[in-house]
Amino acid sequence: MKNDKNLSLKELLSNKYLINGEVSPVAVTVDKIRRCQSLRLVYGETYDHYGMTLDSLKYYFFTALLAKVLNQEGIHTTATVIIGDLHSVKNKIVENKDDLLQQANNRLSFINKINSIYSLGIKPVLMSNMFAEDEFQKRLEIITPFFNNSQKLKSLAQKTVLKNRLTQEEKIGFQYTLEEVALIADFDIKIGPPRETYYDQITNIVCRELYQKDFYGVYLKPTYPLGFQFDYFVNHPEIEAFGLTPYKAGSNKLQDNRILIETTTAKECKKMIDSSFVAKNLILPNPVLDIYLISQMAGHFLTGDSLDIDEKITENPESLKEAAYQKLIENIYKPLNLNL
Amino acid sequence: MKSEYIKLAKKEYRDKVKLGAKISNYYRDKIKELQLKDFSKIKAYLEAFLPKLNPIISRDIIFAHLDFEPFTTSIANKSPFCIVSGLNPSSPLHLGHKVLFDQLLYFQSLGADIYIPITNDESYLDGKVKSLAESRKIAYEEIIPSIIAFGFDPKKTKIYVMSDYPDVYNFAVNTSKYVTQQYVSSIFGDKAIDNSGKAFYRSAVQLAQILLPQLEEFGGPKPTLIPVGIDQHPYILLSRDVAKKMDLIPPSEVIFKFQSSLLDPFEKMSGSKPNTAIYLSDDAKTIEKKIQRAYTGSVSVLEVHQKLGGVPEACSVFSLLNFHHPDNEFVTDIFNRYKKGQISMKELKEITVKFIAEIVADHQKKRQQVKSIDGFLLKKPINSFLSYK
Repeated sequence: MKNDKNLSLKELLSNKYLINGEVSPVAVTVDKIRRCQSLRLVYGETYDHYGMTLDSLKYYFFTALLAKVLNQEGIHTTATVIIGDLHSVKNKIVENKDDLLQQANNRLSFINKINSIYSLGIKPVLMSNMFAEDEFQKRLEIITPFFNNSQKLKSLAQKTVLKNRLTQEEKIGFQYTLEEVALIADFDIKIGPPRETYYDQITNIVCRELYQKDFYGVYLKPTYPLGFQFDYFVNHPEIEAFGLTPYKAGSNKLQDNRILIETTTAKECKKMIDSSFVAKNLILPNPVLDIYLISQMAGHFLTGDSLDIDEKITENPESLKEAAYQKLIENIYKPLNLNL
Repeated sequence: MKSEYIKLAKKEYRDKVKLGAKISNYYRDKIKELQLKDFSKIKAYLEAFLPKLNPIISRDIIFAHLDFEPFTTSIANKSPFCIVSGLNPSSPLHLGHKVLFDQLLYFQSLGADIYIPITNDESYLDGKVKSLAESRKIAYEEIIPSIIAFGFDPKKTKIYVMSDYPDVYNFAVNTSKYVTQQYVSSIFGDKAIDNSGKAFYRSAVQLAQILLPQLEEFGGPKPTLIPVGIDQHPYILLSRDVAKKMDLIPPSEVIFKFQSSLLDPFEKMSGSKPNTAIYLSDDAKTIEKKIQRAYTGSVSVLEVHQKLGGVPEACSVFSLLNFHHPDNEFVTDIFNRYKKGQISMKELKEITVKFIAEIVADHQKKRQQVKSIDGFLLKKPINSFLSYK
């Protein structure tokens, strides 16, 4: 990636290391975006008791970077990070719901800290606050009957939930999905993991039909667990295909194989990085390359470091591991005063 | 007159291109038809994990699999796993067999323990030899020394000749109970079981060979990998069914492409058709004669070949290099230059004759150096399923 001074929207959205090319429709609609005068970007995340993942930072940095590039292209752009407090406790199996809801404010403060240290210019907001707004309630009232009358939207909604939760969601009229759609329909571009494509397809139809505007989804490459050899991915094809939920540390009960930035020590990071599978082939999972990219984006926001990828480093697994760890410490652990 | 030749050569070229596509499509279609998994994803992972890929994998000679996934864990952890691959001793070994042994050797280097049943009983039942005694002679005097000459590790290789390891027949009685006659007929056809021996062999003995390493004597149930040609896939399905019924682990398979016949790249090299095969016992002159007569992917008019190029995908001569030459860069270079018409049929044959004659001579030399086969023979009694209190 080039330094953002020269980085074009097209270059950013077709970046082979960051963007999941198979599902992102944006690269082909850059011209359309360029015709907009203003844009609102959104990235939304839920969370669990394990705390914030390093992978969440990837989304904060990328959202900020995209906003920066759009602003440089003359499109007035704002970036919002929604902290999905209410949706984090929606699932029946979630324990200590009150405690988890309380954590939303800590998370908000922490994102503000990140925002301030890296000068990201993103605006974190709580979902509970947005739900309380009249505008949101109005959108939900308009979207709900439209959704209920559309078989196409319902079948897309079915794809947003796990099979074992489908009956339950159908009973309550896909409430979670509808709230999600009503929330993000207020924005123009949503950044998220590839798994969220079905929400965005629904939102796209809703925006076109009800609000006569376009809605785009930008998908980053899947998030993979650390500390596993290649056989783990071969034997877990679902994780290989879609990755873990980036912002949920306990996704697939793999919290011990993630960097949880408030708790994982530098030593533990090193151990996980050193025992991870690294491939040159970009079609294969590469969680270490992800750390390198996240830390590089962090360095870019901190000191204006170039976003160029040194292919000599990515070509050699050991160099990549070393570089990823060094950048993680220098650009994330030290500036955020984390557990060294 | 010349233009007539050129016209014919162009048609010949088109026909060869079609044949090349037919060969490629055959394997691709088989993956779909038999609901197998393409090996390319595993290949990509192995390429990233291992310092160097064996040509068997890098050139897609192994092209499909069924349940190979657990073996990636063994490879990643450098822990042992198990392979069974039988051999019918009805003719001397040829280059088609070498493709199989190259795989076995490669998997052995990655940690596999190899079981090789020499199925002289099958040779006899199928009428490929006149007597069990003859098939034993071939097994001990030809086949086993030749296998050992490939360089297998005696500590990790267990070879047995069926006639001399009758314990397997006891185990076969055990496995036979789980297979109905109707099931066997539906898989192999009535012709393949037209006498009672064949019926017992196909429905039980072969299964016993595949499932043998999972017996208590060999450490109990374990993932077992069987490298097979596509025509042997039904055997694997049958063995998987029976394994489940016996509370054993269903065997997995990797499926490899056939070494093509010298006379027809769409057919496989066959030991019973000498003109289609190069035997590991052939001398240099015979090899040269066979390769000179082989079907190629080049048209008969040099001018047209230089203009349109060759068709390595439909070339029995190039296939010899592709399946056996160890140097990936060399083979890729030959492929590209031949395809562009920069290498003539004559040159390709010269290169191939030289290379094949060398590797066959080398094998023969190593074969001469094999003085004893004892260290490789499996003699352990198996009776865990017979003992009683």
